[in-house]
Amino acid sequence: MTAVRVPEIKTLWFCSMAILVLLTAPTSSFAANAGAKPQRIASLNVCTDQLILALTPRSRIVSITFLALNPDTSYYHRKTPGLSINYGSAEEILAVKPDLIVAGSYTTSATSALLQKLGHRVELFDPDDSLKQMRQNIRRMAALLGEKERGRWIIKKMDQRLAAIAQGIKGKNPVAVIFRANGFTMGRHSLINDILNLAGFRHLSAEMTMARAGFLPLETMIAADPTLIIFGRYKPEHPSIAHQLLEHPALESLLASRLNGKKRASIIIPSNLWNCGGPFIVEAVEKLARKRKALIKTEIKSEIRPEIRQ
Amino acid sequence: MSTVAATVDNSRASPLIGFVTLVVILSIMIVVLFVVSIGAGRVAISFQQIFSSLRAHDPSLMSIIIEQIRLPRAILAVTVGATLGLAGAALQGLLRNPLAEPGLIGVSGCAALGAVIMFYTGISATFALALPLGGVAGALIAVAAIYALAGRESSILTLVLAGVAVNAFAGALTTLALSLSPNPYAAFEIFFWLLGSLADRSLEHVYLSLPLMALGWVLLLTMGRALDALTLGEDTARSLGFRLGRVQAQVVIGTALAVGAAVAVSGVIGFVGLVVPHLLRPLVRYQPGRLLLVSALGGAVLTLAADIAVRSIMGGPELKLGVLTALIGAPFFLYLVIQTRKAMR
Repeated sequence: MTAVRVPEIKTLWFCSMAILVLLTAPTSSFAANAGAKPQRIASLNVCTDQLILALTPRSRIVSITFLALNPDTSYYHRKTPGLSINYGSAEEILAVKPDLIVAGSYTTSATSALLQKLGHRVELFDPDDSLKQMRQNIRRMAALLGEKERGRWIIKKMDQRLAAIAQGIKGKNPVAVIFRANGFTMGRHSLINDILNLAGFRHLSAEMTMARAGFLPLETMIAADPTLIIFGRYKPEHPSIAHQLLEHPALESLLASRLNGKKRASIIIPSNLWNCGGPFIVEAVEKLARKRKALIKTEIKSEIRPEIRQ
Repeated sequence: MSTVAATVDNSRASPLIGFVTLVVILSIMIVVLFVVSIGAGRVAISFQQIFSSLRAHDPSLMSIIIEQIRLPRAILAVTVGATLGLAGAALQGLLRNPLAEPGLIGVSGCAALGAVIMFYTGISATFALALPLGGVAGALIAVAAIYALAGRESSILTLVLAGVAVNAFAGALTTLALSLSPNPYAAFEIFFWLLGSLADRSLEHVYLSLPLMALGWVLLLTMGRALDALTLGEDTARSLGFRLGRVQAQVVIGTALAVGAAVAVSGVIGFVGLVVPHLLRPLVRYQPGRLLLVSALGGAVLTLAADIAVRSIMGGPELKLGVLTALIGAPFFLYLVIQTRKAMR
């Protein structure tokens, strides 16, 4: 039996290689004239998904990641119906014959390398770990797509709105902390850190010298006493012990307490507003700035009339 | 059953300390370790703060940490540890088998499976008691299966092999149930269920598990005289007025209630029920009846100590409690296997 099957497998292998060569042959010629606007764009990373959806019409997109459809991870999920999706494999990308592939520099690296080897134009994007990096990524993507004008306009609009928010931020900055499943939190070198600072908050994990991301033990967090605890979206119908931590009674006690004459609060910022960089981060800044205003208002009130707190 | 004959002979040897003294010593150890446990953790807390917080309920951030995070953890170490020690002693007495232990024979594994199903399907989110009840149901099925597979008078080997089979099956189903959850974190939580942990548990877990555990303790602790009689053989036990069927049922249900509820809130913490009864057996003149209470206390001592150690040994992420108990317990298990083989020759 095995003696018969071996050549079968071999022929299959040759056939698939032949198909691969056939598939790649025409696209290589596309790569040659890279100066023209790419018309068949494929993306291998949820954050590059966001950038192409923001910068270019849907008709020029041939493949996005499955994560782009998920409202939890993708801001532009409403723009995605009808687009073909990939799970990060090379064959899915080859099948749609792209003339430009955009990907993350750390995700799907084997796929990116293979596609490059096969003669495709693959552009890698560093993760948005700061506002500066985010602006750089938007500009670079806009240039790649031949949409420089739209890129400039998006950044200008975003900066106008951010400037308006910055004007409303006065007084001492309260301390905020991100607390996700298992106590996962972001550090000093993160987009979230910069967003918190823009919204007028000090960032607890950054001040605890956490570099990029890590886990913050519940006890340590409570002892550090943040004014605002920021949660992600939570689906109680699919529980996990990791998420159960976010419902720990100790957190409720902390939030309800008026210890040290201070009001504490929590807020839910959906992760699709700031996990990736894009113009939508303004919404996260706005939500946080509003919360800050409300927190500071009650603070001032209780300082003026302390008897009300009794 | 030469080991049983040996234990009966040994009962005449004088113990090192009296039964009451032993109970008092173990109780004092529990109290001391309980306080140390509340003092152990990421945030440094002085003993003065602990006492003033527990006594006066003065509101402070430290008292939130002490009352809502450290206290439930210490309580669960006592109750879960006591359950495992007690269930180990009771199963060893009933099956007259030195290797019977809730973890080894698959009772804990099946309890974890029951709890996993209740938790990840979201049933326990709407009906909280479903979590410990799921654990109890799983444990009950396991004890019944082991009893059917290995039986009362089975060899040590048969029992351990039956345990291996039940454990493997329960482990596979637990992994499957976790993989089917749409929550991406669920799959990683296999570590919690297979290796156990008391980290970040809350008083809710204490309230959920304690009533069922206590019920199990009562059923098991009142088995003392029946288990003593069983060491003289089934016929003698029967002639002394013990109905064998009832004795079996009470141990099975007691074990299922206590272990099921314990595992549902702590995951599987292995080997406590093996190590503790064996260390204490010579101190109670090899009487299975007296062994029950001291094993419960000893289980609490060992689990409290292990849970303090996992928080103190490493600086990084906390070790799972079952890792530590297995590091102590597995070599002990090997030693017991070798001893048993020698005794059988």
